[in-house]
Amino acid sequence: MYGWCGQRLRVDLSKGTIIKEPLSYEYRRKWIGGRGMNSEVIYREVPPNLDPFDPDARVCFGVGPISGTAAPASGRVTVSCKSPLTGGFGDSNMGGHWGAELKYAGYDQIIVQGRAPKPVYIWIDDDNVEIRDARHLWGKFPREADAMIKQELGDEDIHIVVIGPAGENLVRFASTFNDVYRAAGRTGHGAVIGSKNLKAIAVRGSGTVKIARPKEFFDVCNRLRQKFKTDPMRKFLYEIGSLSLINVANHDGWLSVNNFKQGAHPEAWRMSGEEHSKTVLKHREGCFACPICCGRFTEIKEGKYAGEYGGGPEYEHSVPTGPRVGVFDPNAIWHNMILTNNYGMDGIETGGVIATAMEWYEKGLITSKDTGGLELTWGNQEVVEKLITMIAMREGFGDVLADGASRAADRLGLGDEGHKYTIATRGMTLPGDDPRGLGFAYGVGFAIGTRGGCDHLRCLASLELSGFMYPGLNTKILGDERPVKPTTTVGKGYCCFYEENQKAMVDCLNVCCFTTHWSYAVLTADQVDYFNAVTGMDITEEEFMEIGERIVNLERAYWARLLSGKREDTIPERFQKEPMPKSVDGQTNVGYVFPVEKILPGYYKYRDYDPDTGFPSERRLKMLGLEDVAKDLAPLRAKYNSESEKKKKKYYY
Amino acid sequence: MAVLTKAEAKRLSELDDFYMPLLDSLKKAGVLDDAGHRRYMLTGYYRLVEYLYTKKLISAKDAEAALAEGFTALVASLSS
Ligand code: SF4
Repeated sequence: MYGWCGQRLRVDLSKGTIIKEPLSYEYRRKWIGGRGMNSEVIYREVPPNLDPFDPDARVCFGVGPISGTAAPASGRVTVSCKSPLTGGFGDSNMGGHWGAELKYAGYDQIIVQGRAPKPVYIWIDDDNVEIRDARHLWGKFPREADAMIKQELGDEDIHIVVIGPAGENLVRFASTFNDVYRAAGRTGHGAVIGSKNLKAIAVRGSGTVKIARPKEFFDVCNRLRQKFKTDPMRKFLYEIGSLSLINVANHDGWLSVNNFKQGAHPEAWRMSGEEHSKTVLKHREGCFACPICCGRFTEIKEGKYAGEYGGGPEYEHSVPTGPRVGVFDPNAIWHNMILTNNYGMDGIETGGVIATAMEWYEKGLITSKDTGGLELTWGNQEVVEKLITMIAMREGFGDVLADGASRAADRLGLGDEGHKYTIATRGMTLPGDDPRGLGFAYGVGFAIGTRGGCDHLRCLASLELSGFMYPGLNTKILGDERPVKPTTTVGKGYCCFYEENQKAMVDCLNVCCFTTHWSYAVLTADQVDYFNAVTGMDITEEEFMEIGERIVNLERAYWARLLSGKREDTIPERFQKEPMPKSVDGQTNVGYVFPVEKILPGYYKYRDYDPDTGFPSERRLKMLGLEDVAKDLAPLRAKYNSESEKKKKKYYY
Repeated sequence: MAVLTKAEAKRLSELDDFYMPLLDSLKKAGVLDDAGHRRYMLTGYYRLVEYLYTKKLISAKDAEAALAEGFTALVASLSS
């Protein structure tokens, strides 16, 4: 077999069983791998009303047919579950080397179900798979657990997926890590893993990935690597990392400052990638087979946090526990990043929930009585730092916030006014980019994202984000150069449709989206080329994109089964009603609001979503080979629009 | 022979989100069938331009202009 290993592991931690299941040609052809196969398992095996912490819930780790090959950045892994944060469909993916190692061990996917009676880890050594005692690892930070497992197994070169204390404590936005610092951040699968008493999955593989047409494949890879040499986005990401976006975001007014009350700040430059590189950058590191190498490592040199060291920063990790909570001291921001990584928490939700609580505090919805005496004022780093630990350990007010901003609003009884400041959709706070500046297509992703509010990388409308670096590209794909302007509604419906399908395939192949349709060195046709060369198939570009469309529809249908549809396809009121204030000279988006309602109807047409419910239409589902899904949704269409449903306010599920 | 009327070309070139209406118009004009409509929705504008060129509905020069200048150039070609 070429590309795929053709089998997956199913580990039942309640029964202590390990089963190797073959993956048929038809199944692989339909779902490809990574996100596609994972989504299929979540849809079929995790009923929408099941508690994500129920032992019957699944957590899946998926890689794709080109994972572990020389294709650019082909080492990612997708982690999927029913999200304990949103209650809906959830996944995210991470770089590192674990994904490639899993292929070398001979598996395309791992499904974990059940709950171990005591903490365990899974050790995969090619064909030999065992469940081992992890009681001594419980409570350890990812870097500690990683080192201890390597020592125990006597091999420094194995790769390990691991959770931190936040996952063990069922913090609803706990993340999953591999190679210590590479995080699958969003949707809280770390807590689902923790609920199964699973600390880690260590992998050693000695196999290879068989390539059907090697010459053709290496020709494609060489062609693409040549393109990367002059790719403008690669240059930024390598030299300055994703923090290269800080100064751009500040100029164009899309930096999340004080819970999105502002889009820029005069002090933001202090945490820019340019400053980071000059001051605390220790070294750079790339994920498996990556031609970009955006990863950085930080060592804080002075002040209160001097000597601290860790992987990062990334833009999306640093902004939420920085400007979003009013903190601009760069060393404090690097410290907060190291702390959230140590505990194993999603930096975006951590900052998002603290920023939300700060706004509740500012508006008088909560007082220091609710917070256990903490003064939640903007920029109060002492409190931010304390809260990160309190959330991870579920202590005091931290226990409330550990359920995420939307659930915290309900636990505190704050009603609609409380939810108004959560800056979340479908139960997850949004990443640190304001659509009033970054772009309207990007913002549509918040409304329709199939993992809840945060689809910043899964339907990344890069044609508007980085399209300006590639003149003519918007015209080539969308037929119009105007959508490159972030704050226009022109062409954004089609842009979202195309990029969302594209990204679904990126996540099935498990390549890094920074290498494709962010930087545009790798285009859809290139992906089809290397996919076919590796697998020996001859699928067309149309078939390739249709698979992406199938996956988006299946995930959307998961939400439909929770009766989440058109009414929930929205974005926080702040973006729609509050004109962007001026915070710095030259800010380009002063006065803008985001008219999401103008774009959604057009987007629905491309998707063929039912205009009354927003559910995928029966016609399109059947076209995509999802007849059974169409049957599942049939009785729910009328139910969604019943008077009793219409009255419900759904902030999470 | 023109595939689109001048009025149709004008209507399309004034739209914010023109692509689906353009595909619809081409289907109505018999240039695309259901499968073609779907194919070019999935694969993007440049694949549509390639198709129209291979079907000799636009010239090489028109195709070049359609890719350089975008859909307004394309609908102008299709209506002339
Ligand atoms: S671009 Fe960065 S995140 Fe993506 S694979 Fe390369 S190093 Fe990893």
